Amino acid sequence: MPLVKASLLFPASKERLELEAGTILDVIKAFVRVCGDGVRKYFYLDSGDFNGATFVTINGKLFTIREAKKIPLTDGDIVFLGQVIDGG
Amino acid sequence: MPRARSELAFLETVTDTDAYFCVGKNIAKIDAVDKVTAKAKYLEDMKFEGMLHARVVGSKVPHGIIRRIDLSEAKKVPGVIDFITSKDVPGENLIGYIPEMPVLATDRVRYYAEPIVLVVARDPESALEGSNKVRIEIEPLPMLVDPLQSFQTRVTLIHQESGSNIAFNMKISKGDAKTVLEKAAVVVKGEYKIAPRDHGYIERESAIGIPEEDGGVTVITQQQNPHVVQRNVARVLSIPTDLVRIVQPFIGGSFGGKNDMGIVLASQVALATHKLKRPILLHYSREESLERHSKSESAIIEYVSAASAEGDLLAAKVKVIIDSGAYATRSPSVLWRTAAQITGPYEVPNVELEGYCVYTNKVYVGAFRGFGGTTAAFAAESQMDALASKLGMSPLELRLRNILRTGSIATTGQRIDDGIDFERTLQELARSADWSGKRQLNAGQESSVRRGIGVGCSWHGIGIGWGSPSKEKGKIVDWSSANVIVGEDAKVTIQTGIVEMGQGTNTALAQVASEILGLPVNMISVRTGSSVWPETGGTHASRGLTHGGLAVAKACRDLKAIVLRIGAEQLDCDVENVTMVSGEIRNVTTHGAMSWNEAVSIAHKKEMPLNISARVEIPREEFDPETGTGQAFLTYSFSATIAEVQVDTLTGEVKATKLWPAVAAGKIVNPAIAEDQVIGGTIFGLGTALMEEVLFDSKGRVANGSFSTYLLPTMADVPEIANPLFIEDVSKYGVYGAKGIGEVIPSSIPPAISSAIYNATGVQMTELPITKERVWRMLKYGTTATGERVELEESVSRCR
Repeated sequence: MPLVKASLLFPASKERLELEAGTILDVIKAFVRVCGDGVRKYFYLDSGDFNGATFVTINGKLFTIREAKKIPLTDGDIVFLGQVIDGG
Repeated sequence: MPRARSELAFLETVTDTDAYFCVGKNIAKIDAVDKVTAKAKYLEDMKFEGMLHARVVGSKVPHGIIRRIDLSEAKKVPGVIDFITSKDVPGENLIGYIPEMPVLATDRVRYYAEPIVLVVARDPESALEGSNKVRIEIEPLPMLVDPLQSFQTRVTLIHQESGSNIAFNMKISKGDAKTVLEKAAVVVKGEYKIAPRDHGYIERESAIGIPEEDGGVTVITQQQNPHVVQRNVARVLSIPTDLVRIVQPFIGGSFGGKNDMGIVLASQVALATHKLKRPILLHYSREESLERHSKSESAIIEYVSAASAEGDLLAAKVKVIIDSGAYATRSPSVLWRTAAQITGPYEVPNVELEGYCVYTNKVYVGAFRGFGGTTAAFAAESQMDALASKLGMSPLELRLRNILRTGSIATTGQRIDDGIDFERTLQELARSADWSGKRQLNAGQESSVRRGIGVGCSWHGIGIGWGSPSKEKGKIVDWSSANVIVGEDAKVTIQTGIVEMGQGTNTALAQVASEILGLPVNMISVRTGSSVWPETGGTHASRGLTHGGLAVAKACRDLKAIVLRIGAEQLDCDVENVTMVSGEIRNVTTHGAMSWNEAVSIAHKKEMPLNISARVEIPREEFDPETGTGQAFLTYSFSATIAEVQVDTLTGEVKATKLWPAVAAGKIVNPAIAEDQVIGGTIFGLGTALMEEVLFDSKGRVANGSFSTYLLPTMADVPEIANPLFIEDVSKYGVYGAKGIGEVIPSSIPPAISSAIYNATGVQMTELPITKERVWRMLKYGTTATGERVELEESVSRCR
């Protein structure tokens, strides 16, 4: 599987991982495993659907999780996951 | 004594100001003496031995592919030391709140002036000369400056992998707006345009990078979120986060702008410093600043409102398009706030909204005081005036009939559970401005110069919209962190990541500590804005005092408990029988006392910890992003302004003659600072209403890139402003019941002025700013549209 660098842009117990991941879903699973359930709400709604308020960037290209999950990751990809709704 | 219990158990709100020791008092700003004696050092005042000077070379085309960078002539300039390009980025060349934007462009540029090269030289003059001799060959691509064109096309794509130019979309779906609109007694439609604005801060953007022995870097820069800046820099340099230190100097104004630009300049200067291992200053000229720094949102809003024949609001159907510029970064958050506040501070049971952020080849949208709230307020309030007119009601009466009260259901379906008192605010404001009398006087005017009086209301959600995951509880929270430390000299130091930009938060935080500890403010120092202090989220969203103060309060409460225990032991009584007042710990029964200094001295001798860290988490309710419903913000501040204007119907010239501002923003911790905020915010809103507009030419370049062409209000433009009216509708979510003030007030000014113009002339303005040309066109043709693209010469001529 490709080796990627992934960062969370909100406070969590671990904000940065280098991991093997085929898709963004592998990245999300890894963060939930490492950071615990506290970050799950960022990725999933209680209904189990993806949280539309979370964005993904892959090498600086902006996607929703739903769009990004279809994109195969490649070696050296830089992934960010963060909240669209922040600040003000 | 009336009390409002907070859900945060350690906070007890008392609404009787006399009961306070320090909160609610006019304490002078704690940095005032430093500022007036020039002891306060701003970034431009700082010099470091061997410091070099950097300058950015930007793109001269708005959209294109970088083919070649020729540095040969620039290298010949004496004094030029080196050049930094994207090839020098050791880490990730992506920055911003949404990391989509390169520190320095790699292969493609998406807006005019986008940074490509940094020239580093011994002195600023050599850096300028060197930058003028850098030649960059860019193959132009088709460009888009019109957000509607960008919204529709699938041919020209600014981020080609996206498949469209829509950066983000969202919706709110509450009730059944469509059906209600079909059946409603009264329906009004409007289309509104809001121009992009510049922050207009006096101090331009700067950053100094200093290399450290440990391989890290210290960056001194103006910013609003030191830990986010720190993480951006660390990723760019590919070094551990703790090797990056962000230090805040005194800041000469921000209004949201340095929130985004702090990240950009810190990353750029850190990159150069990391490579050259020398202190480096990067400082934008005014022209660079105006053309390159982030702008407020510009927006197009289509709005349909429905009401019953009696004047009850029934439904709103809205489409919002925000022009993001070249990178999304903050625009989705701006859109979200615009959406969450789109129906104004009124109860509207059925809401359907679709919102879009659209890329264009222009400088990107960033944080800006009001953060989309001004856009929402102008559209919502204009609809209220149009409805009132159609219903034959007074605009004030319609507003009061539908105003949010405690228990109301707001735009996103959120039940307002905080104590709000906006109804009383509006009623008292109307009385103080003699609303009814003046409306009567204005009826039936026939002269060419007419008077009008109007009202505008706004509301502003306090705190970060979505919240953050709790570290411990698996919940979504808003939060803050702080340290409180007592030194050997018995003085108290507060440390927190909140940033002081001139708004007075440090003083208010000192007052919170003073109140709890019973110490005078001069015993308290406040250290803020650095990444070495506890992370506490950004100083944005009007949360600096309200939420930033919560952790300070908690740490002080914990500290107080320790000192009271010492006092009880020394005074030989139970801890319940001691109190802390005016620097003393007193036995309330025997009246025996010991000083704060004695208690602290005993604690230090016993090696008791007087270094307290606190983190406060405020639990959030659910929000469903799929339907855009749920708790949008913890609580809201409210503002209303009554404006009186004079309109020359022959020339279209509008003169605001008097403004009456009012705010319901919870407990006022420092009335003098609050009044400053309201007066400043009123003038800020006046600029938005009547003159401020960043104009772009057909190349997407800022056409009015100086303060002689980008107009800000001067004192000559400022009308009489009545003493601000404050209604203290204390909040259970903010420290001592405080809510934010700074952002809510500017949003009520443009609709108030527009409403007054409507009263004076009978025509309703639909675009901001309300320039005299637009008023004249509206009076003459019933539209402000010119039907032409704004060209550079016309843009500039329109400025004066």
